[in-house]
Amino acid sequence: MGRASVSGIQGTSYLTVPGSGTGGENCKMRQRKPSRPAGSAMDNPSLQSASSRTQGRLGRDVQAKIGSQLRAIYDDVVQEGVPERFVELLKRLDRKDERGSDS
Amino acid sequence: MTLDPSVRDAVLAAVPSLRAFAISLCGNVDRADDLVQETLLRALANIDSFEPGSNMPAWLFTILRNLFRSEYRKRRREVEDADGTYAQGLKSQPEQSGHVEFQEFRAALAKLPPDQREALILVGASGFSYEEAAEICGCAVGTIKSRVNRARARLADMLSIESMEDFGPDVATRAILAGTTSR
Repeated sequence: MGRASVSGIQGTSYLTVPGSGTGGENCKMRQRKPSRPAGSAMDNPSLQSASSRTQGRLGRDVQAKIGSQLRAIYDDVVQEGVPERFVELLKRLDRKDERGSDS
Repeated sequence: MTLDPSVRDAVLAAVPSLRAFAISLCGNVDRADDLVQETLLRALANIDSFEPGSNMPAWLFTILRNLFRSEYRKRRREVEDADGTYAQGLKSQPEQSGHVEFQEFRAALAKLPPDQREALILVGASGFSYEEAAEICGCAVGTIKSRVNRARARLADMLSIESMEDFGPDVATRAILAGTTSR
């Protein structure tokens, strides 16, 4: 389950990214399911090669705790959903498209 | 450009996670939302360069990060106090997970170097693979791995000093008995 993020990669469809105009923006991206994988490499410290010595004094119990706290504060924001301003923004851009294609 | 409904839905679906990442970069909700808005405008203006069916979240994260970085360069003086600003921004958030434990964790997270914090969040919270995180950050996979490892080690260090008892005597005892401490 720890490698769900890898199994989510389905192909090698490449795309370019519009960036800020300086180096490194045209990076290539692999395809992935948009949903969050059930577990990332963070969930299983043992999967991380050669890192056990650098994981701090407290070992994997604390590392697991770090992972869950990190996700908890991140998910606090994620659970707020999509603020109205962004729904409106996309609607506005959509309407502009319609007007653009009509004229 | 025409906005395909499925593309629009994919963009909207990525917004919550995009905001969480933006807040972790800016440390300030209002600035983060402005950054997300800028990202969406940039993305939709360049939607033709997005290949339908490919990784929308990673594409948007890359745009957001690039925008943040260029802003960062422009406002270097302001951002030199990034850690302080970040901690302040976190403090100004409402009582989200207002548990003492989380406050300590947020404070420790704020003390990480930005590169390490970013890598840790992409891999540990956003759920990207190391490869995807490397592509988003425009660096090697090994660099991401090392940043994540250093971030975790540093957090463990900081948290072990201040809140060893928060982890409970059982955990501490088990850790010692299991010999997982590297002394």
